[in-house]
Amino acid sequence: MMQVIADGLVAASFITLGVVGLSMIYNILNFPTFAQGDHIAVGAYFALGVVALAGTAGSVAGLSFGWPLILGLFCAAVLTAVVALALDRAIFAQLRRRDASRISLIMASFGVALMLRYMIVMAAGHDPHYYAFAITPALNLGGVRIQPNELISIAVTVAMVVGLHLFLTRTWLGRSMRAVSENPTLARVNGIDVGRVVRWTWIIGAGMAAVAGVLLGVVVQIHPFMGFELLLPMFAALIVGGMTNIYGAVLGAVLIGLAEALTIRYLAPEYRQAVSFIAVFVVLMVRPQGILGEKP
Amino acid sequence: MSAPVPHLAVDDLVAGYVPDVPILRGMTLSVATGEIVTVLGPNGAGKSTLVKAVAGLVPARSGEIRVKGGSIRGLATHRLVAAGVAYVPQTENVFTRLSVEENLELGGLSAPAEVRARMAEMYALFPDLARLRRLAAGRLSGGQRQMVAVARALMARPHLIMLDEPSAGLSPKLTEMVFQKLEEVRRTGVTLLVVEQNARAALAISDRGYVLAEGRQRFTGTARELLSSPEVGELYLGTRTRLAS
Repeated sequence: MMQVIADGLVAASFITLGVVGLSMIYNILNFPTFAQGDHIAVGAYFALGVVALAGTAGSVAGLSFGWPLILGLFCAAVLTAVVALALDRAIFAQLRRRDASRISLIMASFGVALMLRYMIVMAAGHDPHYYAFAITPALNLGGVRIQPNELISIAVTVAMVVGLHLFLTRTWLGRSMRAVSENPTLARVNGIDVGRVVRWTWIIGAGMAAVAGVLLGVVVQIHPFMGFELLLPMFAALIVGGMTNIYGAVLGAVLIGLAEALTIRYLAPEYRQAVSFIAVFVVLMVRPQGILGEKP
Repeated sequence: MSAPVPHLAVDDLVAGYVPDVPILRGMTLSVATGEIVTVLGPNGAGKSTLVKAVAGLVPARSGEIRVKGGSIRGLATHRLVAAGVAYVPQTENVFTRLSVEENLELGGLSAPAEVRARMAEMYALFPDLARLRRLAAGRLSGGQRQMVAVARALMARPHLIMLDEPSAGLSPKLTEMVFQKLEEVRRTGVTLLVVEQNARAALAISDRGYVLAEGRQRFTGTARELLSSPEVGELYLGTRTRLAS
């Protein structure tokens, strides 16, 4: 059972880093962006570019990768944030200015997602890639076998979620984000520059997605559809945990990750995606606002 | 000798949410420094639109809005705080998911170094809030929320505060308490523009008032004049009964 929990937490780490940004964007910009999955892939490919330029250069602390990938992780976060900001300025900001409906913004995000996905295909092809081919022995932690790369994924995710919590509760910008997510008009009246908050939302959301992409690339592999494949569990986590609550999204990600691991262990890997649908169905029947969500 | 510059001057203001469908149709108003001025009028008269237009939330199509002589027409809403103007909306005027303390901290966003000192002043002015400071604002009663909303607005040390129906939804006792607090706020040197339906309670603490109808000023005068005007009474009560009677 502990092995299933460990496997579930590894799956949850990728979902968490993606869904936190999805939740922030939903709550501040008022639409769920379907491009969030592809931010994950874009981040993974940016890091791959850095690794291709700098080389794999050995390994750090028993991991399968070296310093070039750590540099690549930071570059990926920054460059993906820049891409998201540019796309917001070119597309979503124009739609907001025209008071576009939520469905228009969602459809635009579909378009952005497809554009990003096939730009990756054009640039790097369909074939999967790997940051490194080094094989690292699994650790045995009290009978639970876990790869160092998987352990680092969980650790990075926990650190980023804690960091985000501190950011949201202890900094002016974080509090401004919470204010805008609840009541943008009152936030403006309070002197909060909503445009600045929107920009930081994309930076943090896309940056965290890029980190998810790099970690997923390290643990599994890099391919153009890697983010798209994570989109369903991310949306399931968002709905299960509660659309209006970022901590609910984290809880949802953990539950979906664990449910996926249980499915793989006791049913069959093919049913893994179905479990997200079932979880959404059950939550919508029992508690439509999600576990930690507020009633509209 | 030239006349003193009004603290807030609204001149021939035309404003509305949609172009060519004005709600305010040439509104003129002035508030002197240190005054409490109340804007009255029946539903749909344009009272809320007036303060929203001053706050930059409703586009001003023509006319002028000046604060201490300087134009603020077209100023982005988030820059209003820096201009010394605070606005307390009628509804949804607190961040319900944030604690009372976090609400006040957000109000002091423009001067973070002063937040602690300013918050102590707010707790002295509204002692109930000190007791409730860790509570989510969404769990407060209507009167307590109104206190949080006013305190939040005061955190930025505004020289002018505009309140949209501060007594909306409050019991007569709470209404009296809110207006008492507004008088205390005025004594701290703040000028107030209050939009109200509760004419008697608002005029009781006001120096002057304006009565709006169909987006224009219908009557103006001192609070005493408006309270004893049969025309104003008719507009409110449907009979030529004075509000003061």
